Order: sequence, then C-alpha cells, then structure tokens
Amino acid sequence: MAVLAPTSRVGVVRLGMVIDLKRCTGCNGCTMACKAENGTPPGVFWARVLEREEGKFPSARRIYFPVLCNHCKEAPCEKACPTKATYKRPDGLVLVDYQKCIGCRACMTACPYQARFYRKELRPYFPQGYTPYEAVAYRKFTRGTVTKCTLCAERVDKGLEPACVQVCITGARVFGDLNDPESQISRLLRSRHNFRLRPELGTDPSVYYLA
Amino acid sequence: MSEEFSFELRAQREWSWLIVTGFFLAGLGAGLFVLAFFLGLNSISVTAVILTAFGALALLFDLGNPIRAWRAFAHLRTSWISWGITLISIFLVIGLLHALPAISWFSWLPWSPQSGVGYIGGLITMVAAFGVMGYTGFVLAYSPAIPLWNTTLLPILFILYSLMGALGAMFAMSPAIDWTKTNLALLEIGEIVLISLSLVVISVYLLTISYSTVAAKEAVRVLVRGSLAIVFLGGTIVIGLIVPLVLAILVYSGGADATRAVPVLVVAGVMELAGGFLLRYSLVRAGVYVPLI
Repeated sequence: MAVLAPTSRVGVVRLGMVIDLKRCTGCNGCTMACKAENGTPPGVFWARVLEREEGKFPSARRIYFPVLCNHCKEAPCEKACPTKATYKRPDGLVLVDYQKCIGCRACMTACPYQARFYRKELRPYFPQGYTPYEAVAYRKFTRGTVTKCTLCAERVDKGLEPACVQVCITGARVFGDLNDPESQISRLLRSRHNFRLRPELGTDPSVYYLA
Repeated sequence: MSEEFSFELRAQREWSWLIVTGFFLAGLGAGLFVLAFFLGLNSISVTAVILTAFGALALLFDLGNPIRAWRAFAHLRTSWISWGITLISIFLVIGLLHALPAISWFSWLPWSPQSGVGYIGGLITMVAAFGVMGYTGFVLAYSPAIPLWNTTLLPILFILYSLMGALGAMFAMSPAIDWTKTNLALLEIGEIVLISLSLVVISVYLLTISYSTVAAKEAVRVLVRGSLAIVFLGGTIVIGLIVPLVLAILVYSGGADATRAVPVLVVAGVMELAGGFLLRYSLVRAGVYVPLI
C-alpha cells in the first residue's frame, strides 16, 4: 500500500478518498477497522456500509454503499459550530476539538451525510463494564460531545493510511491528495466516471465514488 | 439491521423537547417584550424577560456540556447559535435593566422605562427581541440537510408565532391585567390578523415545500398524515389556531367587553400558547434528512 508522501509537489494538499463501488463487497471490514482503530462507543459508526435490496426476483440484487464523513471543503458543520470546536485543517480534514465542543448538536442537523454522532454519556459495549481496550480508547473522548470520522488523522500524520483504507480487502477505498494530479486517487478520478454525494448542497465533499 | 446502515429516510432526533421549550419560551418572551413596549405595560416587560431567561435555561440544559456554554459566542461569522446567545444576552441584560424600575423594589434606580435612558434601552432590547424571535428560525433554516427547515418562510413563521404567542400570553394573564388601561378591541384585532396570517403562512409553507424534494414530501406526510398528524393538525392547527380565532372573533364582535370576556380570553390564550409550542415541536420532530443517494 502506498504511503502518503509528507508534502505534495503541487503545494496545498487536499486529502480525500475514492470508493470504488464496483469493488465493494459489503464485508463491513472498514466499519470494524474504524471501530477497532478509534474505539468508538456503542452505536457510533464513523465508517459504515449502507445496504439495500434493489429490483425484483429474478433480477434482485443487494447494493452496498460505504459512507463516512466527507470532510467537505465547504463544511456546513464547521460553519454551524458556535464554538469553533469543529475546524478545518489546511490539508482538508474536518476535525472536532472535544475540549471546545458544548454538545449543541447544530452540526448534526447541518450535516447532509448524517456523519456525526453524539453520546450524552459514554457507555461500554458490555454490561460487565469497560473492556481494557475501551478503558484506554475512551480517554480521548469527552462525554456530551459530538464525534465523527477523523480520517485517522493520527495515522495520516505519520504517513499511514486511514484504517478503513488499509483493511479493505478488495482495495475499494483509496486515499490520497486530490490536489496532486499524479496521485493514485487523481488518476483514478480521471480514468473512471465518478460522483459525489449531494454536491448540489454546496458542501464540496472530498469523498468520491466510482460507479 | 440498525437504522444507521439503511438508506431509509429518517428524521433528525437530536433536537427534541428541551430545544423546543427553549425556542418557544425565548421567542415568547421576546414577542411579549415587543408587545409590552408598544403598550407601555412595564410590569409585563419584566415577565417577558423572565420567560426568555427560562428559555435560555432550557437551551442551556439541552447542551452536552453546559459548563462550556460561554464558548458559544465564538463564531458570529457563520453560526446562528452564536448569534442566538449574543442576542439573548443583550435582550436579557438590557431588557432587565430597562424594565426593573417597574417593580416597586427597584424604583430607586435612577431611570424609568419611559425616561430617556430607559427608553433607549427599551429600543435596543426591542431590536434584540426581533433578533431572538428570528434567530430560532434561522438556526433551523440554516441546515442544508433538512429540506423542511431550509426555507425562507421558517424565520418569518417563527417571528409571527412569537408575536402571536405574546398576545396569547397577554390573554392567558388577563385576570391580572388592568383592562381599563389597555384596549382589548385592538388586541383582538391583532390576534385575528396574526392567526389568519399564520394559517396562510403555514398553508403556503407546507404546500410549497411538499413540491420540493423527497425528504420534504416525507416530512409533510409525517406532519399531515403520519405519526405527527394528531399533534400537528389537532394541536397546532385546531387547538392552536382555529379555536382561538373563532373565540377572538366572538369576543370582538361581542363588543370586546373585558369584564365578561376574561374566562374566554384565558382559554383562548392558553390554547394558542399550547398550539405555538406544538408547532415548533412538530416542525423540529418532522425534520427529515435528505437521502444520502
């Protein structure tokens, strides 16, 4: 797997993701990898795969559609946040500062991709209490705040790929610099028909789908 | 399969009773202040400020981390909630200072609501009051994700409802009001006009938005034929608008005699307030997200 170059030849980096719908098998490996990497509380799925049955017998099929935070260039969540807890990094990642978030959930009603999650209290997965992993992982969360996909910022900053990208068994998820014309992600977007979710809402998302 | 993993249309569930109570009381207090300022009823100005204060408390309790609420002033450039906390603060502080001398304990203060400084304070508070009434609509209307809310008519509807609620509150308090100093007939005309306008605006709003996206159509369906139909049609429309309208017409055409009309006024006022609360509740609960694909 390609390691992200620390600087882009073009100058301003715009990190993004491409998801190849022809390759996705709906295994939800990305869902689990994200949960394992980030230790998200029950019911919080920063990355997830939507599924739906389409058509009628004998030509019915299931479609799988991985979704995550789109890290929009014109993020409505960032604009709605009254405390600037949601902020945009220069490389394009939209992140949440849990120390500033007051839990008003304006970002949740503003996000067209339903990519944000709120837990008033942090609960463990099992009634017996926190697992050793949860005890460590939950330390980075603050109760009463809104969380979302970080594109594994701590991994990206070390030159690695997000967990969901690394674990994808079919290579359906590709991560890279949208502003670098020679990156794998840019070459994929040039070669295949692609679309983004709800671009007419003016969000300028950074996640593309290959049809 | 868990709801987060399906494509189905779903309504937002994060904002519910506390937010609705907060918006309702904040808007009601602001509208009541505007009404009291025009009518020169200073003791009602104090009630108005207190109502908005309770609204602000409700909004505060809805937060995940209320202790940090002071941070919410930080994003006036784009966040309507920042505007809200700013406008509510101006309204509460200057409004209270303007209206306090009306209470006998505070009559020693060196200004009165009608005097130069007090009157200017009242004007500033009035502007802030319209801001408080409008911002609650703008907070919802801002969202590109919820087509039912994302319309020009929402702030207009909320301002209208706040002013109407102010009249409803006056009527609900009518046993305590000195009707020799306040023209009931004028207020009844105001009530008839505002209720009629509200009925028109709601009809236009829901009709036009139902011509819009799938999510908007589903939201209107929920409101008019679905799980919120009883609350919306029964509560907001019938109890909140139609019955008070009929009662207002009856009182006005009966000569607007305050001494006889007080029980009717109280009933009409309480129903109208309930309807105003249920309108905001219905709209907030019916906020259906745009489908992802």
